[in-house]
Amino acid sequence: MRRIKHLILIFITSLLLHNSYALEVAREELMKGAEEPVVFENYEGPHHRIDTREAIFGIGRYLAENIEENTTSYYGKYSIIHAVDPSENDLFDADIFIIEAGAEVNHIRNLRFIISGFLSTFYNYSEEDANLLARFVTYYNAVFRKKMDYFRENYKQIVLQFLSPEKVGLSTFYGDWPGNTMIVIPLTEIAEEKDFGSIDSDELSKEEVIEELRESEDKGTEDRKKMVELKEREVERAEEKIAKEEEELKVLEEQLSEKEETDEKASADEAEDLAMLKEDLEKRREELEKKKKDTARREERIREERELIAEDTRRLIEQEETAPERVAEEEPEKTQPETEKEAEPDLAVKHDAVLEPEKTLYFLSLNEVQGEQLGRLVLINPETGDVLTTSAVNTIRERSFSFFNNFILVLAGREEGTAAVRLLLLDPKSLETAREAKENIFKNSAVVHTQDTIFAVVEVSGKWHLGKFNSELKVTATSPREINPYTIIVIEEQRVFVQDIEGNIIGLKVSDLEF
Amino acid sequence: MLCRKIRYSVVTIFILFASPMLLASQEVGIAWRYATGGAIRGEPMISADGKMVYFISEDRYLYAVTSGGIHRWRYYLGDRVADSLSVGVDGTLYAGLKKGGIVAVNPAGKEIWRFLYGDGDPPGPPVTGTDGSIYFATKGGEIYKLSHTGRIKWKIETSSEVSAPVTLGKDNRLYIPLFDGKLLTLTPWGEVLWSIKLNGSLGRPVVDPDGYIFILSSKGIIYAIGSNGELLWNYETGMDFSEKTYPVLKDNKLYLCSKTGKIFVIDKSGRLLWKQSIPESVETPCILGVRGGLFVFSPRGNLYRVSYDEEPVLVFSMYFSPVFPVIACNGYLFTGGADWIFYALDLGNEEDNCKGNKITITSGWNIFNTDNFFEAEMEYKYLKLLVESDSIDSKKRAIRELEERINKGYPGKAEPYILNLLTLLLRQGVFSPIESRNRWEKNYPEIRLKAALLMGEIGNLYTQSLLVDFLRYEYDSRVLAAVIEAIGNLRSDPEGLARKRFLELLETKGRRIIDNSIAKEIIVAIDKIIEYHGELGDEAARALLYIFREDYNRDVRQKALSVLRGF
Repeated sequence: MRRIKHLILIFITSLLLHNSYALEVAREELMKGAEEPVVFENYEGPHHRIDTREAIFGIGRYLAENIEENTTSYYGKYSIIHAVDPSENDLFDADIFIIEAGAEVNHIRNLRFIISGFLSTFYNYSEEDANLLARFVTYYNAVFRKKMDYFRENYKQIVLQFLSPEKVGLSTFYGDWPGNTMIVIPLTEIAEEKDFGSIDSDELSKEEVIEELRESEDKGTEDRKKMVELKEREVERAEEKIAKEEEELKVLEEQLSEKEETDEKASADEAEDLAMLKEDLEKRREELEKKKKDTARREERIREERELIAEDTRRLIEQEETAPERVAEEEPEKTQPETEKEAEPDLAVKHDAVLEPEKTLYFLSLNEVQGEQLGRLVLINPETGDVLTTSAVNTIRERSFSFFNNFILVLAGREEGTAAVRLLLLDPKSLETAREAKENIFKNSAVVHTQDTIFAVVEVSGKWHLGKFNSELKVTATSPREINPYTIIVIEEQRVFVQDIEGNIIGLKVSDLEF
Repeated sequence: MLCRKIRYSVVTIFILFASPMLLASQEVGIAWRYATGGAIRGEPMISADGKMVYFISEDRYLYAVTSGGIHRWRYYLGDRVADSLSVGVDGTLYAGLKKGGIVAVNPAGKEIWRFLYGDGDPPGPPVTGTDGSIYFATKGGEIYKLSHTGRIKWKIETSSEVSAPVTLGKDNRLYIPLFDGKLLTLTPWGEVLWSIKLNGSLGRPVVDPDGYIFILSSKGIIYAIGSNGELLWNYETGMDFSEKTYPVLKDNKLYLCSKTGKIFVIDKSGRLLWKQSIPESVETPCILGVRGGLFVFSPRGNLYRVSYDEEPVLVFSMYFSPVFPVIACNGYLFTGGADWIFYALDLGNEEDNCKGNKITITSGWNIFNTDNFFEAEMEYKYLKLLVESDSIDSKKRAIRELEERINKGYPGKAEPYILNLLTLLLRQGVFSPIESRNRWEKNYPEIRLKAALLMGEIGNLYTQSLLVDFLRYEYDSRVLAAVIEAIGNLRSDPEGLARKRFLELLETKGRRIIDNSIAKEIIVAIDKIIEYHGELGDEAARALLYIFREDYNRDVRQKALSVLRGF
């Protein structure tokens, strides 16, 4: 009977969804509002362990401190190849940062901490500069993800020999990272000095990257400003070096000139020495002139970038000051998207109210992450297609959610790395996590609830048991016996029925889960 | 029940200790914002009438924006900028360069001159005297005086590096704070008047109209020093102050904002009037509103209104760290931010107090009536004898000696009496010979001519106004031409008096007196003036048109037209 009710409800739901305002909510819409200029999709869900910023930064530091013969590795999870070849000119050297298959990093913030830790330790950048460069490293590698031709045109052979076309760059989706990522960090010709200016900030902030940043709502102005300031400091330092070199050269040239005038009867050897010195000075002079031109070119580019940032900021200010509330863009009529799949018979999933009275619709937007379909809850206006809110959590499991005590109950998370699978209660308006259970839940667990109680398969001392949760998501009881984690959960009157590990169907008291 | 009690307690505690954002009364609002291509550097400058705001940005531009937020112009300074901008009495802007230099830009946004000394980031902006002179310190401890046309008047070296911006006080005395704790006072001629050693390195001196100097040291002590260098009192605050801060003086009260957020208000006799605290640190000086309201900005961008009888009120919150906020006479608070944006905040109840604000240059013949200043100088006495002698040869000799003195280089402390003597020479025989037969015998046009030209070489804005006045009396066409040439060489004409006088000359003296050569000098002088100021002015336009329409030589008329067209 209950199943028939579910099916009718789903049928009605699909009818209601199929209206003359057929709509499509673009993936980009779902990611809107993200603060990042380049939008990375990160793991958002429960954790069983949260590493400190210092610990994550420490991974980068470890990599930097343990480079031997130009390579380093952190327990096989992250590696760096320092690919430098002074004999080849005009193309880039690089550090190649590899995220190996066993890596646990699942948030762009943490990836940046690792890169930042490496840059600040290996190249002596300040933390602030290293953080900024790490951000641009991720932007750059996202823009040039899998664009092997670009790397072939711009990087030395010593770098290219390590790169794989399918892995080069950085995916914007965290699920793609482990075993599938080669982050390229371009180096300058002074990289071996291991000092400020070793990372090629011009390359990291080239036109394609800036254009990508400008696509975001705030046009990436904050990061672009900081990058310009960093480049300005680099140029200033370069100018100081040039001035010093100029002075030294001047002195040497004067000395040479005096020597040439006074040593009229120089011996053949002395003449040869003088000629070599002259040649050497000329070469240095040439290099110095080249550096001056390069610096002037850099300054011009910085000036252009400043102009662009100023223009963009003025436009943003104007928009802020003059635009009324944003009007929803009209979506062209398209075919109706598929409604949620019919529930599997062994899943007691409830949709108490899919349609809110205020013309909103809850939906799960799915994404494949290493073979699993994980969801993000979205609140949509079914008439206009406007995405009203999206949940930060993007790992909702089992393609289901239900309404429980003025919240939305979901099972979310993953079992990899520091992530965990837990029960969550989301606020129905903001879709933010209001509560999170502390206990690990089986990733494919059935989740069943009554008015004020939730039942799911919970981990107890490494084994799976039936757990009873109250409305605060606190465990109030667990089954005395280990159960089959794939069991369905059926509540009938005062008993709850599950299948134990032996295969027996057992009935437990709802009140205390005892026999 | 217990849960509900706990919840209420948590909420209460949260509200009490919440971010100040929750408590902001928000009576202050952003009037406008202007985005630039770099962080804003240094203190913004406001024109005397409050209509224009000027500021420099790390994008190397000097910006001019109206007080209503309309962008007027910007000028590319070409080099990295320092925290250094000031505005001269004639409206010329002086922007400092990080590598050590000053760029003079007129109010129309054109560069007039550039002076590079190459000593690195200066300790503060230049200061400008009422005679148009510019004084500044370099990082290495040198002090320069330049004329308003960019010529070096003098340069001296100090015993230690300069620790804060220099200040100009009464009679154009220059106060120089040094790292070694000395406060040095110089005359406008570069002589040390006095120095006093204080405890700690010194901040920017503040001088009141009576000539008293107030200065904060790095030990948190505020000193009051008399105009003769005597220590009047000191007050130990026991606080740390930011390097950027200094005492703000208004209505005989000194306002000090310390790093810890404590605010001191002290009267001129050193008595503490009241203290207050804000819950944050402070890195910039206290800001006083037009109506006397006291405001304090924290580095986090929180603006507090502070008074003696109330708890400080958070009136505005921003997310930027302010750079040298100032309140203009129109009641707006202007500040740049490290976020590359320049802000104007409307403080709500501050009224416009800009009416009647105008800088006037002292003019007239009595500027140099400072007999008690250099009367005792032997050289002056000797030259004065020559000047006042009835013998034309003596006067010629005086002129020759003055010319030699000037050509040797900057005359230093002789400058005021050289100008005094030149003024005397200029006045001689200036009355119309028809009016007084006696004077006709004492008519020395060649002396007046030379005196005028020399004044044009070493003069300042005082000299300029004197020469403009003199045009009314001169009747000899060659001398007239020389005076006009001298006015042109001095270039600055802040109140437009020179241009007005040129037009008067043309309209009243007639063709007989204003011949081709004088007309040409007028055109050249106007050209130099409008190049300096960047604006033509109504009288100058009319003067040029007048020349063009009169029956002057073709080349003269064409020149007048080309100057008119070129602008």
